[in-house]
Amino acid sequence: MKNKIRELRKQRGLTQEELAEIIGISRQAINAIEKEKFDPSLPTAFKMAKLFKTSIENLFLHD
Amino acid sequence: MNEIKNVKQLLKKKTKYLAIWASAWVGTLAFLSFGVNNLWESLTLTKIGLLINFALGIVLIVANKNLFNLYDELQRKIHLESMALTLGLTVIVGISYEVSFDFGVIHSEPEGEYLIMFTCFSYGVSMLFNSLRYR
Repeated sequence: MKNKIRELRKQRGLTQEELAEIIGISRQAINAIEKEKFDPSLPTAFKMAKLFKTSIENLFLHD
Repeated sequence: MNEIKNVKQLLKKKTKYLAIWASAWVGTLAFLSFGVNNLWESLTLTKIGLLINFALGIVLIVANKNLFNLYDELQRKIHLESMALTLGLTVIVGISYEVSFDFGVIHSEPEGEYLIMFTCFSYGVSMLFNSLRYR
């Protein structure tokens, strides 16, 4: 699934490691999500949407 | 942030526990095999040894489950995919080998140890492959 995680993370000046720590998953998971190799769970998607102050629909774009 | 650090520390701790219990299980199994062949002839001692080894095996399984529960969603996916691949490969290769032996295609009799070694090997390779896939 396409997403805007990398773009929003960079806008906030966060590293993958920092985002991983805030969300509570591994850096590898953040990297895999950004590369669109792995879709996060619903709780993780909600945490990300809350952090970036946006909606899940805006954060994740269905192909 | 503190919660994440705690999870990381807990992961290290649980991994260490898993290593300790795995070593204890393998160690008692090796000692038991050595003991039965070289140290004692008593069936009671062998039974006690087997019970201890079995109990350690149960603790090892619980330690592995506890560690698995600490993994994040990607790590769980990697492990689950590896387990699925290993289970499929073990069943298919094991049955193919057995049938090939029965039909006289293979002359080396199937041994349980081969299957265990194959399971460990395929799990290791699957883990490596899946970890690289999600890098």
